[in-house]
Parts: sequence; structure tokens; C-alpha cells
Amino acid sequence: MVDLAILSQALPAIGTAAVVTVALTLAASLISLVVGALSAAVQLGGGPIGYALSRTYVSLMRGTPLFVQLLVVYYGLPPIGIRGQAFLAAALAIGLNSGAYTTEILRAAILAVPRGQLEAATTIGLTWGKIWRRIVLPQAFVTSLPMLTAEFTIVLKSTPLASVIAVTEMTYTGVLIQSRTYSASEVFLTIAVGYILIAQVLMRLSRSLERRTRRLRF
Amino acid sequence: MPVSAIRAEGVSMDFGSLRVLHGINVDVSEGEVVAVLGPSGSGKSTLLRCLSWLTPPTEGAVYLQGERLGVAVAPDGRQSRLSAAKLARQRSRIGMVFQSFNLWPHLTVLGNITEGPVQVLGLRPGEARERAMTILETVGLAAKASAYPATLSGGQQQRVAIARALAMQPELLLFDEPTSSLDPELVGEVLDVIELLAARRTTMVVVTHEIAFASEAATRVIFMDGGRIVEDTLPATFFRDPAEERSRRFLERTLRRYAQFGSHRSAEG
Repeated sequence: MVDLAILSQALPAIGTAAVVTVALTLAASLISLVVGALSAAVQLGGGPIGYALSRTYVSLMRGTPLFVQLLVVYYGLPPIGIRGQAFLAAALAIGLNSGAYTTEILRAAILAVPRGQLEAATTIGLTWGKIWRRIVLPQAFVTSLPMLTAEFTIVLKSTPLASVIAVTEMTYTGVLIQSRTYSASEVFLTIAVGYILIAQVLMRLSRSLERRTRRLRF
Repeated sequence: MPVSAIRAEGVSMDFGSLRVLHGINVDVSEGEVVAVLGPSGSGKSTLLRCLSWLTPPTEGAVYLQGERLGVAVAPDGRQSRLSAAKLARQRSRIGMVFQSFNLWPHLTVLGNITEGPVQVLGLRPGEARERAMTILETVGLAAKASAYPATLSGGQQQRVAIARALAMQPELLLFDEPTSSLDPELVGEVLDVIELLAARRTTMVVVTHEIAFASEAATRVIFMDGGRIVEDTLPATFFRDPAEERSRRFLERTLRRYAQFGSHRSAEG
């Protein structure tokens, strides 16, 4: 039986926590995108050292559990003078983890730009920096949009792990409410619906971006 | 003495252990329209890519209006690689049109044509647009200025590619089999544009399989085989009385095919 009284009491707290979840998702996705773009760029155009750095980063992030990475970052921050910043640690850990996958998504999209287009740009006299900025990256972004959306949805669904370092996102808040009220189904079903709603917004945004960039595809 | 637009000296090209160009010497003067003919794999396209420095040759030198491409020569004769910026500048003076058009799909027709003038030559966007529209009129595509490449036919795309090259006001144009990937009925519209440029005395080197074009619009024919220039002569001489056995065989084969199937022009009606 669903106890509506408990649910209406819990909703404000879950709503506040949802804001934390969204903020964490946005922050981690932004870190993922920036780090992924840099990492893909040095992998493809940074010579042997850039290549090795990027590959090492990708294999480290893909080879260890996000849970462990969270703990490493959280307990690694105080020695460098950053204390009590659970949200920052979570955004960094999730963002850096996702950045490895974003690297691969962007790398594939960049390599998918036909060589002939780069040759045409070269014969026009564009320099490498401009070819990247004006020819390669705009197309790579459009190509990778569906994959990036999928990746950022995974970021959203990774945020409950931040509860281990006491970030009061939705799931952790749910656990707290449940431990006081002993009503698990009301709380966790509500939270599940919350994740679905956030994911829906993310996917809708992405689809509208895709629609607006569709004419740019071949 | 005619002015040399582009000159290759002893240009050789190796792909691994395979030598695809053997010490090519060729000098194209301003206003010449050179048709480069030859069987597949004879090195025609590679020569063109060496001339544009898209593929720097293994050996030899290329001179654009007497200026060495891709190599900086110090007063004491020492050679070093030209800086990327200077090389890009040199390349901007040579227009190149590819078999597969290579338009940028994320930019409109106008965007494709103004990209170089704005980003490389530093034209104001308004000036570049004006220049682009004039050229689009010439190639008959002014109505398509705001269309995206994907919505155009192959022939239209190739005409945009020619317009893109022309907008840089290059000193010469290189065409790498510009009609080879087109449906037969679209070949004519592209050749018409190239012939118009020929009539305006634009310096051009055209790698092509279009015999009719070579005999009508070119001022000179180069026939290549096995990575060497076999014949370098006037079109009339080449088509009436080729000096070499290899050219004769090539012509016989090609003309037989024409007799069987007709040229693209006649297919067009």
C-alpha cells in the first residue's frame, strides 16, 4: 500500500535533492565534455606523447570502478587543501570517468569526417587550427550528439554513487527518508520517476538539437 | 617568353617501395589549358597532388610563378621546410577541384565559397558574399546560394566546388578527374563551366578521361603512362598523329569505347 501522507511529507526533500542531482549531472557532463574534447584532440594531434597521455587516461578510467574513483578523488582532495567539498569531488570523479568515454565518442566522430574535406580545406589555404575549428569540430559535434546524449544519461544514472561521500542527491535523500519512515516503496518509486523525468528532459533537449542540426548531415 | 605559372622539376613520388612518378618535368605557362590523359594508375592524379603540394613529392621541386613550393631556400642555398603558415598561403594561390567535390556539408553553398576568402584572404564577409554571388552567376547556381550541399545534384556540387576554388582568385586551377564521379547526364554542365574558364584564358591543368573535352578545350595534351610523361604536345597532333605506340593504343581503346557508347555530350542530347 502506498501511504500518500508519507509521500507528501517526503516530496519537498526529494525535490530539493533532485536539484542537486541535476546540478551534479550538468557539472559532471560539462567536465566530461571539456576533458573529452581535450583528450581526443591531444590523442589525434598531440604527437606520440599526447597520444600516450590520452590512451593512459582512457584505460585508467575505464579499467577501475567509478565507485573507487569517487573515493580516490574525495580522499585525495584534502591533502591538496580542498576540504569538505563532497559535491566538487563527486562532479570531478564522475566527470573524469565519463571524459574517458567522451574521448572515444569524439575521436570516432572526428575520424569520421571524410579526408577529402580536409584536403579541400588545405588547398584553400586554411591552416590546421582553422580546419579543426571550422571544418572538423562542428561536424564531429553533430555526428556525436546521439552518443553524447547517451553518455550524459549514464552520467545522470551514476550520480547516486555520490551518496557514498554524503552528497545529498536524490538517492541518498531517499535512503535518509526511508530510514526514518520505513516506507521504501513510496520513496524509491518516486525517486525512480524523478530520474525518468530528468532523463526525458535530457533526451528531448538532445533530440531538438539533433533536429536543428539535421540539415547539416550528409 | 611566356610566363611559367607552375613548373615541376624532376618530380618523383614513392609510395613505400613503389615509385609512381619518375622524375617528371613539366612547365605550364599562364593561359594554358593542359589536359592530362592516360590509363588508370599512370600517375596523373599523383602528379596533380604533387603540383598542389597536397602530397609533397619524394624528390624534385615545384615552382609556382618561379617561387619554390613548400621549401624555404636561404640565401646561402640551404633548404628547410617552409612554415605551415607560409605553405598554407602558397596553397591558397592554387585552386584544386576534386573528383568527389569535397564540399563541407555543414556549410551552405555560400558558406563553402566564402570560407576561404574570409578566413584566408581576410575579406570582409560582405565583400566575400558579393564575390561569391558573382561567381555563382558564372557557374549558373545563384539560386542555390543558401542550399546545403546534400540537397544538390553531383553536377551542381561540382560547380560549387569550382566556384569555391575560383573565389580564392587562384593563379591556376588543378582539376582531378572533375567529371569521373558524375552521372553521364551531369557531365556536360561541369565541362561547360570548365570550357568557359578555358575561353577566359584561366590557367588550368585538367586530369580527365573526357577525350572530347581534351581535343576541343585544351591547348596542350600530356599523355602519361607508368609514372612518366610519354607525350606532351598539341591536342591536334596528339589526336591525329600520336608519336608513341602507347598513346596510339590508349587512343584506339578510348575511341572504340566512344564509338560504341557515344560521348557523354551526345548522351546529353
